[in-house]
Amino acid sequence: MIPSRSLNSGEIAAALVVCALGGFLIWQGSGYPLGSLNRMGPGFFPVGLGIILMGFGAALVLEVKRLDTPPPEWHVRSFVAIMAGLLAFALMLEPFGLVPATVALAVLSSLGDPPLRPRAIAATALALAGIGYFVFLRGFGVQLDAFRW
Amino acid sequence: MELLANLAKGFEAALAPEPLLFCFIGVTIGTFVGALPGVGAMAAVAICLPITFYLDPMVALIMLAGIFYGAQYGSSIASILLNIPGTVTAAVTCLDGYPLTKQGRAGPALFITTITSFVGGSIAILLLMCFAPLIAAFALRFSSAEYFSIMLLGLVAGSTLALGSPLKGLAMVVLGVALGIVGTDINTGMSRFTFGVLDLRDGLNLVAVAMGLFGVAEILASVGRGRTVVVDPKSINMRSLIPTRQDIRESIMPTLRGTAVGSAIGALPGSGAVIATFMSYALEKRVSRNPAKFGRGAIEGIAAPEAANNAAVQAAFIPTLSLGIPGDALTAVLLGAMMIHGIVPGPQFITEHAVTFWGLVASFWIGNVLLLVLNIPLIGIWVRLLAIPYHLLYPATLFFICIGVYAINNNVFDIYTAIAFGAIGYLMSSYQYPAAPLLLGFILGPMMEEHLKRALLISQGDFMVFLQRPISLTFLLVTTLLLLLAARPFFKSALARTRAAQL
Repeated sequence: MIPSRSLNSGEIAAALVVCALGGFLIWQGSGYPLGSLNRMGPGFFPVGLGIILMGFGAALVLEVKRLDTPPPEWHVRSFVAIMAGLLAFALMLEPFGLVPATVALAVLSSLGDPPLRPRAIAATALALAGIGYFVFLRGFGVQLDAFRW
Repeated sequence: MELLANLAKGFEAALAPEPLLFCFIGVTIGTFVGALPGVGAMAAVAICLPITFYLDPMVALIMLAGIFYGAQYGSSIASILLNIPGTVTAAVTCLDGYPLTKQGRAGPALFITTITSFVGGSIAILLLMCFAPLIAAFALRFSSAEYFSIMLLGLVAGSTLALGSPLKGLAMVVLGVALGIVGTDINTGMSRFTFGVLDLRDGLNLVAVAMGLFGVAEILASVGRGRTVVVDPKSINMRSLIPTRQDIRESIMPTLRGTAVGSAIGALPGSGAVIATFMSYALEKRVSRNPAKFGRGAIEGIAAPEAANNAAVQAAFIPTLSLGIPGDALTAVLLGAMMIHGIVPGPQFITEHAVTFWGLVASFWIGNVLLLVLNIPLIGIWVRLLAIPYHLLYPATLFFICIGVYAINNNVFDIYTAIAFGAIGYLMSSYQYPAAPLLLGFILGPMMEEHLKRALLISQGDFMVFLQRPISLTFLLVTTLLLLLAARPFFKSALARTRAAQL
């Protein structure tokens, strides 16, 4: 009935993160003036929320025993590839322009779904760069350069 | 008949060329993203939101709303044909829809779900027309205490009336409210939780947060799971759609029951279409004389949940438009869009923007009729779309999310926000912490803080103000009831343990 210990460690960690976030709210919030009940200061609401969140976090730690959810599967490759693609887009957009950023996003994020398909990746990158240029830059007038260096 | 006169005015506004065109575009995009697994209505809205900046506010709302309810129609296609829900609200439809496909009855299943979607949606629009103005007129008398209590009810309903652990939902709602604090405090001008980052002074961008939690996170959870499935689009044509007379007879009552469940759940602030589909499926199974056929291709098993999700999506507009309190996470984003267009949501919306409100309602009728056409004669197009491989689709979706989020403020910081919330949303869904309550809390949080402050300022710090006002008290009693219902399994297991100890 009670699942194995290893299965629950992730759940316990998640519940502890909730507790920690509550603690963080109380710690940071108490740095702002608390005020009084009829004139609440900016710190009142965050501290109150922090206390409630810590309470739920504590209850979640207790609840873990009753949960039999399977541990999550991690797909590291796709996670890294997609994150790399998104970050590359955000980093390159203003210094280099929309087209290089779009190509970087399409190529890097496509690596997350093996097998490698060079032609499909190239076609996606070019098509998206085209849509970005014609629809968003020319069509909607988004304030960006296609290329910049 | 004031109602009919108003509706006539609404149709006059909505049948102009521009609203009509954008209603059509909206429902088509909705069906498109609904049909494609892994792309939700939320991502479609992020892509379209910057486009709507150039439109009249009413036309913008018509188009965005069209995406929302259009997606409910499209979402059953993938559930029935591929056993993969097009959006989460069609997950239940897989249970009996896919067995029907295996029996070679995909056509009638698609036909029935479209018709029940239409019936469910239409009844809920009728309810919206009749009740939203009444509720709004009633709510004009609400003070801050009532607003705080009904928002609390909405948040608790949204987190406990959901699948999985209610405790996780409640924790996420509180976290969402906390995220809403980030930015400049409107009373004192003090920056809270900005950590010296200038871009955070105006708070986190709603669309960026929503896109991260629902767009990016969904893709992170789907890529690399190998779910490319090939369907034969030729097998679905007009003739194959026609259901038998028995199919129709068997789906009438489930459709009406599903509509009732969907309308009730949808109209409750905070709780959305997903839970409505599960509840209506469970209800059908319970009232059926032959429960064993569920899961093996029962028509009732697809008719009821599809009626329920469309009814819920349309009924969610009741609290959204009459109170300014979102019915679910999707209407929450729509409220955000209204505010971007300079419309203040609240009970005065229906009277102050009568043409916008009635035009929007009229567009729901037009949109639902358009969807009938899109989903019955043109079903073959959407079936062919399912053959688009996911490895082409997800880089494109990521690109549209990024450029859409950037275009809102021309600010790269919003893209980083979406990326961060994508990672957070992925981690949350891995441990089954729901994202919808977090978004709901994020949107309602600042309003709740404001109303709490105001109510306590007027009552001079006396918390009894929330209990002394009868409407506020009612909302709080319902909230308590929901919390007790959610806590029931705990009491049960505690009771079982004491019994076991006694034996």
